Amino acid sequence: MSALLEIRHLSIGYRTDGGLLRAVDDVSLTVPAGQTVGLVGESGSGKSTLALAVTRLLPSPPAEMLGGAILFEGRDLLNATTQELQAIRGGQIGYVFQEPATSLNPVYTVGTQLLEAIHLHTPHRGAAATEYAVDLLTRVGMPDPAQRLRAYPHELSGGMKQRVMLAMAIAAQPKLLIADEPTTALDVTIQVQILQLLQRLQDELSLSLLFISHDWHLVESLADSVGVMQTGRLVEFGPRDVVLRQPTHPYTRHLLQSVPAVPWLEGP
Amino acid sequence: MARPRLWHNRLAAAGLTIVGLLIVVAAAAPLIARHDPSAIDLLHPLDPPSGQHWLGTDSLGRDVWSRWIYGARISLEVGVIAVGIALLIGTLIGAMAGYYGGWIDSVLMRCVDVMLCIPTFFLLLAVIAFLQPGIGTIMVVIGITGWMGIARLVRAEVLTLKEREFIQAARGLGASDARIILRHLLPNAIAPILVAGTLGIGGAILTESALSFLGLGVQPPTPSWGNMLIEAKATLGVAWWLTVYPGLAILITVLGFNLLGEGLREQWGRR
Repeated sequence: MSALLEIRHLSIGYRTDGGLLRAVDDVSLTVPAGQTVGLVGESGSGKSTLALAVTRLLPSPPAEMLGGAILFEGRDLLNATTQELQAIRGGQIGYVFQEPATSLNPVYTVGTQLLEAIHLHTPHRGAAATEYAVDLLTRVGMPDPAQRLRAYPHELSGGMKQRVMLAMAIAAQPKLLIADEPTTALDVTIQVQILQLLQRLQDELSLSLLFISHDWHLVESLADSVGVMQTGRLVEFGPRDVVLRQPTHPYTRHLLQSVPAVPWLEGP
Repeated sequence: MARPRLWHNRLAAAGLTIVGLLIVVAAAAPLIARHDPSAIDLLHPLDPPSGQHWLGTDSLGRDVWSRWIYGARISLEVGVIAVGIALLIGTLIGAMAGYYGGWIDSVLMRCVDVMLCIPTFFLLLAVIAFLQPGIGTIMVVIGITGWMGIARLVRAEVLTLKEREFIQAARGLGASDARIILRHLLPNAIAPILVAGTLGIGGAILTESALSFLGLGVQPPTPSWGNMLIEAKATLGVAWWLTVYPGLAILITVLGFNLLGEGLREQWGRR
């Protein structure tokens, strides 16, 4: 099986007072096993809607699935039951969101939340679960992992919180990780660390990655193939080098031209 | 962290002191009471306050101080359990309405509106008319007529909380609705719920006193501040101590809970 996730002609609308707004319009894309797909587009282009729609996380109402299919390992998630979806979320498909500062529940310690993820999707219990939690924090490069279990989110920096989110996301060893602008809220130096971490985890766990960003540089360094979204449509999709070097759609060219040239970032 | 700041708010500190004292008095009632609260002494009816009977005796010669202290027990018990019931119902309904939205929200909130349309006291009297009066009844009845405000409060709180990213993150982790509501939403809404609960205890104690005064609440010989008052009504002209002390007790207790509730509200900086 080559395609882990295959989205076919997916359309999603938001019901508003002014009528139906098509946030995602007839989008088809494929995430092959073990590969990284980068999704680029400006704010409001439907990237995040698409990302959330994969495991049906969009609140409905106002969101409505208007048609298409989301095939994960050949199964259409649009027909899945709530129980099946809950097993897939976090179990098969992990999420990392944009705002690490608000993605952790402020009233629980890191350990409690990490253990929740472990209890939901793995057989580890008791001391074994705690051990596994420490192991996960170690893998995401958290300093003093055993101590950090007792820390509350407000005691951690943004980068550390994103590491915790990653640890939670990979707890069940998912096959696909959906990262929705995972570094946008972080300092540039931390961004690089998180990206390197993502790449390392991807290699270690043979993860597929759906990476959503508005930053061409990040997508260029991470993605095997790239999709470009504009007002709900996927206007371009293909191998990274093709999309970046020979873009066919005028919007892609327009986007690429708007990237500030930073010569010293160009690799050898 | 929380206590010292609350302590600096003088009114809240007063409330906390009153409530704390009340709890101690109620808990230690058998130790503090100098007589059996129900022991009748027909040779000494309507004795004024003295060394033997600190707050005097009532028309049956029972010791007012002892009855007063056991009354605190009843009032606290009724207040806390009635509010507990109201919190349970209100939180559950408010959380479901806020979390699920849509028609579930509409139906539940219309129920709340309907309940709020009926004057609470009339509702209380109507429900009690069908039931055996007593402490248990009164707790349940005050509870099931007092949850609407809490439901609205919890709904509003959940509506804002559910948009927060950690709720989305929890859903993305595969948490069930029940888990999200109970483990992630409600613990974050605990502050306003506690404030409402504290203020509600004062109200519940007042309602209990009023119902007992009307003879529909706590039944004699069990002492409650409300039924002490009605027993005192007949001898109002000759024995002032029979009305003043239970009345003061109700006043101070309700004041204490309200001050504490307001203090907590200020402390947590929210409605």
